[in-house]
Formats: sequence, structure tokens, C-alpha cells
Amino acid sequence: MRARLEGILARYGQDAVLTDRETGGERRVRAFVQPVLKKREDLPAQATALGAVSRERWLYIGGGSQSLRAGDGVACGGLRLVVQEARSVPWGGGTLYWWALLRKEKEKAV
Amino acid sequence: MSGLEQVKRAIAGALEKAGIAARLAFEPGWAKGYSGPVVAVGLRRGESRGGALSSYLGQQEDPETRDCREVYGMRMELTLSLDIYCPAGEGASGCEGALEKMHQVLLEGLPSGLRPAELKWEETGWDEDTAMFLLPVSLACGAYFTAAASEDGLLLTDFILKGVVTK
Repeated sequence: MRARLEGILARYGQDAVLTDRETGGERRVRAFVQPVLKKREDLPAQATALGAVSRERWLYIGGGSQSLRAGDGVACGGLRLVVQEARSVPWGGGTLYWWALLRKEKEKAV
Repeated sequence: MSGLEQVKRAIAGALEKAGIAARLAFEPGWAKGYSGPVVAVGLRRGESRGGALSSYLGQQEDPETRDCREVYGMRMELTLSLDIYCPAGEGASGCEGALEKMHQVLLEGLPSGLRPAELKWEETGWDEDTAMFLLPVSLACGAYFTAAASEDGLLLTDFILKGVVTK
């Protein structure tokens, strides 16, 4: 099952670069990174005291050997995203795949 | 610049001078990523109070030119929002550290036209929208403005927050 999923990721997935939130270390992986589509009438941004915040979210599905945690960066297809929530999905004694919800990374304050 | 804008900029300027990042609340543009605590300076509530005699304060003589100017005053009672946001990596304690620094600035570092009356804060919580810790803070203060007019009543200056150097 695990090998089959890795094969699907390798064949149909996208190239992505994971960045560790603390060390800044990068890993190149194959993963599914797809936008989460919501109702059309929802505005894509929310006004906050610090400025507008994007409400857009992306779904990440990646191999079980590449762990993720909140705050890690994901670069894929010209997008710079950050992990909001990550979970491992178990299969038998190990991890079958990693599921994560991603949001847009904020630009650095000047 | 309007009176409210002057007050917000004076407070944000005093915080920045003390090394605390500050931003005027709800300015246009996208939220930026901050590596430390940041204060969003905004307005929660306000009242403008006119004084007696059409807010006339008296005459002032220019010591150099000996020209006489009429001085008018304006007072506002404001409750400002000084909400402290802190990135997840700093933890909720980052908000509290910034609050202590801000408290000191409000006691010592404001222009003379701003008289702080009460500083209130609530519990630090997590703000889903910005994905940062948020400590809501309110400052109740009086703001005093003056404007000068020539003897024939022609306005020479707009209302300026007292204690702010404009030249």
C-alpha cells in the first residue's frame, strides 16, 4: 500500500520543497498540493488590524517518510506556503502519508 | 492630518522610538510577517469636547515679531486600541514582555498633549486570522490640540496635538 502510494506521488504529484521552521533545512519531495476550493461568494481575504490576511488554503498530501509540522514552509509551483496544521495518517505500524493544511506565507515586515 | 491621525501617529512614533514595532491599525495592504511583537494602534471610541467661549484660550505674543495671535484649543477623550500581536515562535509571553515595555512608554514617552488616564488589558489568546498570539490592550486618554489665528480671525494653523514638534 505504501509503495503504491509512493508510486502515485512520483507519477502524478508535484515537485515541492519543504523548509524546516527552525533549522531552515530544505528537502525536495513529490507531493499533491491542491487549492481548497470554497463557495464562490466567500471573499479570499479577511481584514485584520495588521492588514488583510489571505483566506485561501491548500491541501498537502505527501509521502509517509517526510514529516511536517506547523510553521514549516512549502514551496510549490511558484507559491510560498506555510503549514498551518499537519497530521500523519497511520497504516499498520508506520505512517502511510502526511496530510497538511497550508496557507500563504506573509511577506517579511520592513 | 486629522486630530485622530495625529494621536495615532504620535503613539506609534513613541513606541517605535522605544524599540517596539508599531503599525496603524487597518491600514490598507496585506499583513506582513513579523519576527517579534507588534502593536496595532487604532481607535476604539472617542468624543470631541468643545470648551467655553468657542474654545478660545487667549492671546499669545510672538517674542520675535511682536505679532499677537489668538489661540484656540480642542480636547478629545479617546479610547485607543493598542493590541499586541506576537508570532507563534515567541509564545504568549512575547505579548506580555511588549506590554511591560509599552506601559513604561505610556508613562514617560508621550507628547505633553496626550494625557493617559487608564490602561486596560485582557487575557492573551490565539488569533486565527493572523495566526499570531493577541493581547487586547485599551488606552483611555485625553488629547489636547491648539490652533492659532491672527487678530482678524484668520486661521494660521490647523489644530496641532500639543507637545508635538511640527517644524
